[in-house]
Formats: sequence, C-alpha cells, structure tokens
Amino acid sequence: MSKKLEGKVVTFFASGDASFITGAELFVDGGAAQV
Amino acid sequence: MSKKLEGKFALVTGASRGIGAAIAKHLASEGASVAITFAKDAKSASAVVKAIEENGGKAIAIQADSIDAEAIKGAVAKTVEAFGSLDILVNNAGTAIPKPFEEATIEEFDHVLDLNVRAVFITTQAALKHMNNGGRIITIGSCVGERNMTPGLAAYSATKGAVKMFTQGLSREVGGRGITVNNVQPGPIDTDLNPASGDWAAPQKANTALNRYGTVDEVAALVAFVASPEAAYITGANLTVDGGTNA
Repeated sequence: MSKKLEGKVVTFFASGDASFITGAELFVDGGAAQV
Repeated sequence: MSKKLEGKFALVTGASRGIGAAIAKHLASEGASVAITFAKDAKSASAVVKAIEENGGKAIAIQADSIDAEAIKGAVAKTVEAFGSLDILVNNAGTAIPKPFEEATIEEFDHVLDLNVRAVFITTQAALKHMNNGGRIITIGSCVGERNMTPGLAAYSATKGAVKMFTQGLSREVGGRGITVNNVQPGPIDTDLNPASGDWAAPQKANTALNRYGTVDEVAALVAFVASPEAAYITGANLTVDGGTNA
C-alpha cells in the first residue's frame, strides 16, 4: 500500500466526516487481517 | 477539483428515506449517478431523486421490494440499462422487529432473514455480473452484528453477524478484480425507525462513548469514503460508525 493512500485514510478519520467514529479499529490491509 | 466518484454508477437499495436516502444523496454529491430502490413509498423516493437532481446530480428511482428476488434482480438490470454500467452497490435495505425472542413469530424471523441476509446475497450476486473492475460492494450491517447490549434484537443481530461474515468471505472471491467488499456497521442513528427521542433511545445513547445518537449523514460520509478510490486497499472490513458503542 502506498503512503499516499494511507495518508488519505488517516485524513478521512481526522475530518468532520468521521465525527461518529470512535474507539474503532480500521484495517487498511487489503483484507489480510479480516478473514 | 474533480469529485471523488465522478463517472461512477451506483445502486443503493432501500433508499427512499433514512440512512439509504442520505447515502444516495452523498454519493451523488461526490459525482456518482445513483439508482435507488424503494418498496412502497414512491413519493419519498421521488423526493430523493429530485433533491439529487436539484443539486446537479443524476438519479433514478426503481420500485423493487428487496424481499422479492425477481424484483431486486430486475432493479439491478434496470440500473445497468439506464447507466450502462455499475461500479458501486450499497446493500442498505433492511429491517428490525424489536421484541423479546420468545415472543417473535416464525413469519417475523423469515421477514428479517429474507430482507437482511437473503436479499443481500441476491442483490450482490446480480450486481457482480455487471460490476466493473475496481467496484465496490458495501453492505449496511450494524454494530450489534459484533456486540449486542440491547435485549429484543437477538434475531436482528444474528442477521447482521451473518452479513459481517459474508463480507469477509466474499472479499476473498472478488479481490482479483479489484472489487472491495466492506460492511459499514452503524450504531444508534436518528431515523424514523430508531428516533433519538424514542422509548428505546436512552439505553442506546448511554451505550455510546459520545453520549449521543449519530446522524444519517455521518453514516453516509463513511459509505462515500469506502466507495471512493481512496479506500481501494480496504476490503473484507467491518467498519463501525457507532459513536463508540462497541469500543
């Protein structure tokens, strides 16, 4: 995964759009840890 | 600046009101052309389409009760016929019948299972036949699909646990096409079905870390992010937007 893409995910969580998301885990791993 | 979903084609089920309507509007605001389905409320569905069009977007409404397999397959076909392609499916249609498990009827079990699980399977399978590489399958689950602190939701939470595992499993099958499959799990969201001022509201609010209900727009924002190219490496994931209910 590119650092650029990682940064965009972090940016989303830092934004007002993520105001009801807290105490959550988000894996950005292409599904590696989910299955 | 170009919009994140410019040139993308989306189908959102059960989008005449509430969370689904907010998702449809948000995807459209990001540039996607959006088809919405509705079961009965044509007037509300038309209002969603009108709101999108007034904002410069493109939308169509299709009557299709997700309980009806042929109807929902037809809705997928009509979406592709109208837009020529499909990039984003949001499985939003769903229901809950809150009541003590021992009092629930078999007919109620069937209804919740058919709408929350069977319809997700059927709609997703139909959509994948037309979906472009790099597409998005997003299902609206629930935070109670992972942890349930609310009596009366045993059957409902089981259906949301089912779509959680469906999401994880399907992600393995379609990842080779660049299609991501994710499950957005809202907590208490202020809607007609679960109003922030209703009898059930106080314990749900108390279970959140933020001590409040969420809004439909807060769910829609996460869905739009997951639908965007920026979330291309997020798949098989269960993303809670629950104010910390499950923290």
